Amino acid sequence: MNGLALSGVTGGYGSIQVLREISLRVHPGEIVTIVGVNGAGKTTLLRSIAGVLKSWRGQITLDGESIIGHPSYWVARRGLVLVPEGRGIFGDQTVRENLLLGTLARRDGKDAAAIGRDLERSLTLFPALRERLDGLAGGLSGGQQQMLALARGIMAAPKVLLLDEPSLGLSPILVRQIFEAIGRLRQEGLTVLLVEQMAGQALALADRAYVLEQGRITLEGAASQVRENPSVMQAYLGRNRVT
Amino acid sequence: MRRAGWIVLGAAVVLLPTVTANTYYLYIVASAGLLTIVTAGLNVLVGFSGQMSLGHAGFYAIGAYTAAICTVKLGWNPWLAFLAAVLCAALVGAGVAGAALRVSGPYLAMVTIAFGIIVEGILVEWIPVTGGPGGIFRIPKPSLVWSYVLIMAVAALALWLTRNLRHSAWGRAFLAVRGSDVAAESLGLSAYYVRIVAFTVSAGFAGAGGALFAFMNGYISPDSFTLQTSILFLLALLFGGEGTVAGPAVGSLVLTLLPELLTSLTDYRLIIYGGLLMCSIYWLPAGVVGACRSRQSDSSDQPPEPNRPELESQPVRPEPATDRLMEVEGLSITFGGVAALSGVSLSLGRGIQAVIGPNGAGKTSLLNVLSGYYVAKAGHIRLDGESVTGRPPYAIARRGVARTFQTPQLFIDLTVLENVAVGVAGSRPGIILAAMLGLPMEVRRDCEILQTSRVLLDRAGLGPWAHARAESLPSGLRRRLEIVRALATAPRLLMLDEPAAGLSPTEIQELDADLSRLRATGPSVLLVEHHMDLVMAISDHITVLDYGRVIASGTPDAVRSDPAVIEAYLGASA
Repeated sequence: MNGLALSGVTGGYGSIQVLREISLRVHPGEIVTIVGVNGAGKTTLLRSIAGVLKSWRGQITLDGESIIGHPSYWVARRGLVLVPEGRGIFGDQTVRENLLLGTLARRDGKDAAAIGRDLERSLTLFPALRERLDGLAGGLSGGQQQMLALARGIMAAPKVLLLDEPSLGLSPILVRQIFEAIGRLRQEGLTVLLVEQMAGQALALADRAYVLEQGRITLEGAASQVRENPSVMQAYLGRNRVT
Repeated sequence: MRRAGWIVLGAAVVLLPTVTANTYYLYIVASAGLLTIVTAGLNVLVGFSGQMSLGHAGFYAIGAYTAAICTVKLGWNPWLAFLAAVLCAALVGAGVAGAALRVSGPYLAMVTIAFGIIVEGILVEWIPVTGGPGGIFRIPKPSLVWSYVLIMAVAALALWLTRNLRHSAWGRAFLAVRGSDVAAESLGLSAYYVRIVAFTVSAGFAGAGGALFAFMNGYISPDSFTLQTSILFLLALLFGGEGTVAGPAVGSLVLTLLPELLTSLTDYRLIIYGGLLMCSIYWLPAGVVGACRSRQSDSSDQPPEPNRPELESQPVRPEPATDRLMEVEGLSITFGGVAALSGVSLSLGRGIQAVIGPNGAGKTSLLNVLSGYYVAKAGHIRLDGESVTGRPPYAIARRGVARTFQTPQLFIDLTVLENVAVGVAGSRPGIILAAMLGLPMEVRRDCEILQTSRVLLDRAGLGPWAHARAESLPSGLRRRLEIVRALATAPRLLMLDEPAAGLSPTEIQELDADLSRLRATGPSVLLVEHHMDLVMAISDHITVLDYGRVIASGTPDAVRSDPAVIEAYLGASA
């Protein structure tokens, strides 16, 4: 089984259960999005997959290899990288150092040419970072820090990228650019699991989608079908659909 | 379970003198009582306000020597001497805090260590007053049983006072400053002043403990007031559980009794003692009491879903005297050579004004300058005609400017209800002595604060979460709580930094409705936001920033069709 596969994953914080028997698949080269209200467990799910949070029960495999129960750095080195909500950039280091820290999890080791190519690609995607490349990351604005977190994820050259609210705090132009960039990365073979409040845009981009409600998957299917589902339209897309 | 614990502890303390006349036991338990008094005070500083002191032996010494000198050399009544000791330690505490609290964290720890060493040095060198290394003898000394009774009574009082304090507006102010001093200042609290008060109270407790120590022994010398003593105070508090009311009692009891129980193992005694302490940090990071408490709260149910919200400001609100509530002229500020703002001027009146612009355009910097967190290099800010340029955040907040933050800054040690209560109390947490003594007027005032908070929470649909810890709220509701807390200060101007970030389309529609209602009845709003549907729908006026400059300003329609704005921010197809 290639790609990312979850079956019967249960987990939460302390003794409070958040995830209930989650099963889902992300095939190689696919963009899959998870739709749900705040508090449904989307972030918890991503954190559990990345090993930041220990799952209680269930199976998680990446290209057939079990990754459940392993610490997050181990999971990252297997090629599954989380860009967390809330950025988590290293404020006391420069933008360049932050980006190079992302390469620690690369599976191609220290291939300087590939790293240079990915660096160029990240900076083309986010020109604002190029202007501040040798400034401290802590001095970036909130939105620029979000760009840095995304670029750092790209620098890890992952097999599977988990994105938690990548559009958070970004200007309309940048949101569009980021969605375009994710689409382009897929063409290069990247697999993406995307959590995003801008459900309309996420569904337009994704191949398939899962709807998460109170820790359970209640609906799954092709993104275009999920998007036309009346209850999804009402609950997650709002009256004025943003596309 | 908690009540049962107190009853058992109280009964044991009361019964001990009747079961045994063995002075050794009485002395040990009385020592634990002394330690409880000091750690209860230290708890106010460390557990509540989140600051560290490794110099409390200094205040303990000041209490002991004041009591000794007043009784032995000046012939005062011991009760009067006790009061003098408490006051003297508190006064010195206030002075030290005023100087030391300019720094915090490890630096504060170092300053307090230095303070302790200086006090110890003075005790040794100032022979005419302190008796030098030999100390002071023949301090009036009641019988051991009386000492025991007195110390236990004061220890119980100390715990009761800290308990009252924790549940007062002051206690919430302490924990607010600990959780986020940035947010506390935005509600009108001066973090510096609040920490000085915490330090003063804790020094007063240490002084009380020191005075009783002098009376119990009848003799004091500098040996009892070393850095080691300060470390023991802190250790007892951390072992018992900082921030909990019972923590000081439990920690003091264990750390006094344990070495005594280990006396039979003379050779290995210190090793075992040290080993146990190390293990306790590993297994009980929140202390004994903290560990028990978290086990209890784990079993509590998840809070229910929130109701449909409705945000409203408090009914009583000073009307803005003019339509020009805030006037900003030529603001400039640079960070590391990058101009975040250059020559920004704008004027805020009633209604909703939005500031938009590309990431890094200086929107949040502008908010931070307007609310006092950054000091502008050039320019003027006038609030209702009065200059507030360069004023600190709490001073600007007190003049009716409230704000939220891009990353919600909640007070995570407090409940959802208490978070709002900090906003309702604002810059007026009341009289701290009255709060500690639980005086009726203070209790009544606090009830009113909590009732008002409750009403505000219910109106915002957060009522079901009132008693959950703020930490447990999902991200969308955190933003909502932060807005409710800001509105609780009854502001004239509310500044929102990306309130819709991370909200779902449905939640954004709710925010839209809330803000529209605010426009009708509430304060003026300055909104920094990227969701254009929201901004265009509710704003009366929009200012566009790019590279720290105003590139456009006007009505939503005018801004939407401005070529410069489309180029820099909206993108061609918007």
